[in-house]
Amino acid sequence: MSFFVMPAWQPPTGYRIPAWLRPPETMVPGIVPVELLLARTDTHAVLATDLRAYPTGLEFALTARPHPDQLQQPRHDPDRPHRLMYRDLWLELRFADGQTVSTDPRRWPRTFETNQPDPPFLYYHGAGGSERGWRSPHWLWGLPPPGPLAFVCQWPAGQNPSSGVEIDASLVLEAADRAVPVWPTG
Amino acid sequence: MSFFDKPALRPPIELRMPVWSRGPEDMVPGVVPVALLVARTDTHAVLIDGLLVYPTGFDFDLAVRRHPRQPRHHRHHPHLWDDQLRLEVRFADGRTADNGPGRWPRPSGDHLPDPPLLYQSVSGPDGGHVWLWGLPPPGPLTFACQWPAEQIPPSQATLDAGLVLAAAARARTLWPDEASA
Repeated sequence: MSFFVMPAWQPPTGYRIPAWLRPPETMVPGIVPVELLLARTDTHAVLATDLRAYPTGLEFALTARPHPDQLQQPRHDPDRPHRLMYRDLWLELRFADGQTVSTDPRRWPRTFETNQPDPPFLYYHGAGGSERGWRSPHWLWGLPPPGPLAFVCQWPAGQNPSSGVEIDASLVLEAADRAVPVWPTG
Repeated sequence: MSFFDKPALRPPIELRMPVWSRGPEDMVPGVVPVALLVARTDTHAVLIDGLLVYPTGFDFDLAVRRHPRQPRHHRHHPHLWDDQLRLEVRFADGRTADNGPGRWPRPSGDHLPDPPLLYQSVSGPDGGHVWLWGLPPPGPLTFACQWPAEQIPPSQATLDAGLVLAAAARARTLWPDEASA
């Protein structure tokens, strides 16, 4: 078959992102009624926003916002200008039972894309923004145990060594109980 | 002045968008702890969630969900308004705002347009992100949608606007010392 008679390209069908890498698409989430200010310096603030709970985990966004006086400043690391400033913003979740999860890919299991990892597993899928801020969707596979749940961020480029906040995990667990299927009969 | 004498390029003095065009970036919004199922057919559902409220208005996500048995279509024809998911927000006092084309005013100095105004900043087959300028009065707050291209008939869901107003009262500034200075 020559190049000119090859069939038209067809997008892949049937592939679905594994359940451990994204929130379930067929559920109405339970909303966790908090917005979390994780860190604040003179120039930036880091928040966890849009917390949505499902029976299989917790979806949220890690967000960085510049101080209004910083809106005209370039969003690049001053020491490494080719790198975006928010590149080094990492998040760790600490559970009441002592377990921790992190967005540092060096802590992810090597086969997480093909083999279901043991929960909890914290994944982020992409990031984007502008001079007005930055946002990255995160997905925690697995719900936290009852007790304190800490969100801790580290951001060396933003002069923020480590800071965070703690909430009661029952807020997440109760929201997960409020999640309902979009199509109850399947 | 020769080319070599030209002054160095400077960024615009004022980069901030008009206050009515988006939520204030220097505030932590209040959360409305509710997700709304606005429409559902055998193949599609439309959700409103992620309602984040500021004193000047609120953000939310307009999410399209497809039934797992529904194949995902990859459309290549031009993006037409007639193909889009239409959304209208209705206040208890009769005022409305929608995501129809041509509803967004041009910025003109310090003039503030009359609320409510609805701006869908992201739009696609999976829904979008919406900013609504203006807070609703007490009473029912209705979200209505229809999507003829996907056979979603006119549908709606209602929220108590008191939840939105209470969330607006919980919004707080990120740098309070400067706000009070």
